[in-house]
Amino acid sequence: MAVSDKDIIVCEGVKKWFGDFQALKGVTTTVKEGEVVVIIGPSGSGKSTFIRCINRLEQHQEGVIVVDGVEMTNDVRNIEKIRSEVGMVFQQFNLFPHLTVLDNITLAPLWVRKRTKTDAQERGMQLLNRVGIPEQAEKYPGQLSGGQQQRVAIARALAMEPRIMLFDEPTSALDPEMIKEVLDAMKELARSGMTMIVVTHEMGFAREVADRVLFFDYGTIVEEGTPEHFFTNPQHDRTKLFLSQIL
Amino acid sequence: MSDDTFVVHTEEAELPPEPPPHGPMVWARTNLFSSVTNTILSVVFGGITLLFFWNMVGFIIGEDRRWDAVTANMRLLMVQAYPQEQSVRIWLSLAIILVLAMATLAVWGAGTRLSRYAVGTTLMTAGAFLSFLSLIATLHLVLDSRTAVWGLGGLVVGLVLAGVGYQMRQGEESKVPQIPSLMVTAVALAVPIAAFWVIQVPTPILGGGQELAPVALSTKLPLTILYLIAVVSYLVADRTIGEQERFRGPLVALWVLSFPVIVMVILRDPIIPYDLVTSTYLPIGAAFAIVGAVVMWFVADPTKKEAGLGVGALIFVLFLLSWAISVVMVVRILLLMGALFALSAPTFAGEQRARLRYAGVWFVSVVLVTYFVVLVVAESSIRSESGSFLGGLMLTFPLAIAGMALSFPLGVLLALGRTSTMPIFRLLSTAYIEVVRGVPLITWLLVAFVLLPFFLPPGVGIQGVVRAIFAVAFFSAAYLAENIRGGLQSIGKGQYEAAKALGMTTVQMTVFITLPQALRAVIPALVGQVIALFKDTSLVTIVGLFDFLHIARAVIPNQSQPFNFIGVLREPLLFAALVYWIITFSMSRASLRLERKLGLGER
Repeated sequence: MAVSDKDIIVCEGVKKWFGDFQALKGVTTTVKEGEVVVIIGPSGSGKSTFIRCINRLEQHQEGVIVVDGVEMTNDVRNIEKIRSEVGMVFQQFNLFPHLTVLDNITLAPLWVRKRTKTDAQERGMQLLNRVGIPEQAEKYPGQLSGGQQQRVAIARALAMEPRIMLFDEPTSALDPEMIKEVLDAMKELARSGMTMIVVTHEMGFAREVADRVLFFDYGTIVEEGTPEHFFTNPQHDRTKLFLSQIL
Repeated sequence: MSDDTFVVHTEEAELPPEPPPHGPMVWARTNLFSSVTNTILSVVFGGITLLFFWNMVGFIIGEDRRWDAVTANMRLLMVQAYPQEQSVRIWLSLAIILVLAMATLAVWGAGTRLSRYAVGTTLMTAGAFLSFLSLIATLHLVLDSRTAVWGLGGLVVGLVLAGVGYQMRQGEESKVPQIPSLMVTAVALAVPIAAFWVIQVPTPILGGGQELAPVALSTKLPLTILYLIAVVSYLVADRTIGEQERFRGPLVALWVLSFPVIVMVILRDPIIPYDLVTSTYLPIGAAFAIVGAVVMWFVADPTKKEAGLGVGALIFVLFLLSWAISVVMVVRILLLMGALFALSAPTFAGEQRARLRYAGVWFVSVVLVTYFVVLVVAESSIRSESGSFLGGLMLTFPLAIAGMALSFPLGVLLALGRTSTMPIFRLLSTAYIEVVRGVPLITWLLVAFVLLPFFLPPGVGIQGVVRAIFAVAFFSAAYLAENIRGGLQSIGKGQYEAAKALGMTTVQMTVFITLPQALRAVIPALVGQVIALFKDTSLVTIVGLFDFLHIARAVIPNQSQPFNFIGVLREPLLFAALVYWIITFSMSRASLRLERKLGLGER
């Protein structure tokens, strides 16, 4: 878990409205290369909206987001370039149901990264090995359990060899006995030095893996700090209340 | 054992309960006569059904029926005035299609296995239905005091079939799927083929009256040979082809090529104008192929993204300008193709190999398109009175196939346009769909034949069949577009987000993610549209084309030479209805199969 000094994501005063509702009220933070940042907070606090702004699945209206030295603007070319450097794992997996597991993983490397087929398949199998389900390569997503599907989704994102991984509540749609297998895959990834931003309700994961914890509420970062600070000595009343309700 | 012990789990499973009583009586009691209302409904509708079949069978075997009008005109119905001495061209075309079809079945590993029980059920039902019809026929014949041999024969055959089916259903192991469904199809098809050699059909006698005579050798022999070709080529393909995956691409290409080759080369037999080819088409084709290949190789470079779009736009402008000057049509077609190729270059761009392949695809496409244009320009050596070498069922099928082949891509484009975020595409697509759907097909056919000549640039003439194809295709595309749009709307937001998050462009997302899923989701609606298009081809009769229905409805009842069939309308029409039904019913069965096969990955 070597965190370098280099800033890979810089956010300054990021604001976002859905109609009249303000989802983000000026978020300012910086993520360093190799850092694992866990975002927690109640529903509707803007945490998902925030990480979706980082690969521009949502467009922020005010403020600046710079990812790997490129500012997020309306220039289409930048957006696709950034998206291929930023992997994302969704709550609902969002695997492509008409493609086999291996095709799900190799599709983007083949057509976006322009890899050769053998190359992409070899790498795809390596990744399936890494998340522990190489035997499922020829199956369709619908034939897998939720935990297996989410691990395929992680492998699919990793196949693009991203520099940053975003996780949007990756375990929230899973049965309890499947959460561990997904968290294990994420822990292994964190130890390998990947820059990760994880929105989650898994406090155990935050405590064990996070370099830093951000607490979101009402569209802003209410409190941030190391896991020790955060779970043992929270400063803000809102944080104390939240932690007392879920721990 | 005290009272508070309770059984957590037992080792022995209990035996299943005795099956409830079953059999035809029980079935009838629970399904037909379970209540007073049900009994009344069953009796009333049973009576209506019985009455229908009584009259239907009575009509078909009526003493004064002129079925000889159908058998004597079979050739006319199938291929219209195609010269008899050239018939081998038609049989060859059919043989090519059959060999391709069988290879496809073998390569795609089609052919599920059926259980003896399922086959038995079908046999039993078919046998029972046949005996039912034969019984009615026998009664009719006896009442008319005619010989009832055929009716009794049918009754016996039906009862035997039903008995065999019943026997096949017995036993526990009968429910295990073990009979290849293709074998069942082969055996089922062998029955009518064998019947051609045995049965006698009503045939007209010169000078009036009809008699029963064997089927003509020129019909039954080629059909039998075709059947054997189909069986043999399936077996050969199934035994010899390993690594099925590798054959799929070439097979699809062969299917795509087979249609123009069969229609334009084998059936049309063009007389190639060699002087025109060497003076015009060869130089133009070669120039486009070579210069274009270099351009395509250049723009398929991933680092030159804007280049492809710029070159594409430039070629498109040239295409538009080409209408202002007088050039041969092939130049315009190749320019349009070049624009499309250049515009889609960024999607297929890649390393050196991908770029060379892209240039290669362009080269081959130019050669094929130029060759095809030469075929169209060439005169046909087939001389027939109606002016076209296509007619009868041999016009209906090419119309339907070409109509589908054209309407499908157009429908996809319109659906994408209508769901696009770009207002200009959305507006144009919506306008097209609403206008085309809002006007009957007959009107569009008339427009294509009566109005279109006024709008075409000078020097551009289009043949009748081609006009009909375009009218049918453009009409069908509007409906297809709406079906496909329904499929596109059924795709969740998550699929788009996942594709975008992987860095895919809009084109890649559409081609690889949304469109395949959308099309799968609407297969039933698409097949419905295909069936509708097939039947709609019969409307071309309004503009004077001799399709299958036109011949059955208008040509045969007006025939006075050499046999007098004047006024014989009902028999050919009933036959036409049967043929349309057999074809569309097969399509709908095939689509169910396709649905199940493609649905494999869903959910």
